[in-house]
Amino acid sequence: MKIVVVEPDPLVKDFIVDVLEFSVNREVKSFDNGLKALRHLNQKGEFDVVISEAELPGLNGLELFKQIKKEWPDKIYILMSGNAENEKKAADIGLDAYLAKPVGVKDLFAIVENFVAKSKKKASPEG
Amino acid sequence: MMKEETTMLRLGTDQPDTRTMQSNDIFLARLKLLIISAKAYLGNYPLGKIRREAVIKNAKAILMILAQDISFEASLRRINESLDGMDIDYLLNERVKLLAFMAQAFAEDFPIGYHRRRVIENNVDYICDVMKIKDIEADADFLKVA
Repeated sequence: MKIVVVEPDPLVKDFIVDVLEFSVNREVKSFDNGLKALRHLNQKGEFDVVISEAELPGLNGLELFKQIKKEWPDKIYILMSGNAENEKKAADIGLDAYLAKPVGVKDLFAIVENFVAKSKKKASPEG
Repeated sequence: MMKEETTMLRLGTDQPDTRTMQSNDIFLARLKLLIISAKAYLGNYPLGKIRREAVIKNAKAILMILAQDISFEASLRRINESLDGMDIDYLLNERVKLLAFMAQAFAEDFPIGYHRRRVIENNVDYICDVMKIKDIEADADFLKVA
């Protein structure tokens, strides 16, 4: 399961990456800019879950999701924001989850439990 | 395989309290991750290579924040009303620092005997008690198989 995090604040980004790497025991790729992330995601398509902040330099998180979803509709897309107005926008474009900031370890573990651990079990029912 | 259509999952802070993350939010969340990683170690949860590296990075980030001392004090001030002054602040500060060093040690596979394990356990209990952190095992239960 490959996770990509897009977050412009380096302190927040490093924290989220550390929690996710600790949870899934796999490397997590991260970007601080929407355009760089879009380029990477569209080029390779080697991802399963994208967690992005709404407000990003280059291209905002909602636009980023709209564009990648066209190309890769079956991946998991999660928006994070400290602005409550973005919650409805996330639902309107059919995102899988919304993380209202400030986020804690428990919220990120819940993401892993809901989207990563379940899909792992599906992929290998023997465990 | 087609993805199932489901309603959007909502996590994080309740709507009226939604805001951008401050450095003390990050400090408290990192401290929780430090406690969970110590509990995971004490519970003999599997620690793979990347998980070990994440523990080390988190411990280093905490030590860096403690060296700057700003976020830690700000965070403590928020929960400190029931505590009795600077001695506890100082002790808690030192205990968090100690736990960060311990986490680096077990993540790097340094020998941890019975007594060191007991010290880790006591340290975690003290920090959880003072900071009123509860039910942290339940949050991390899925790590047993991750």
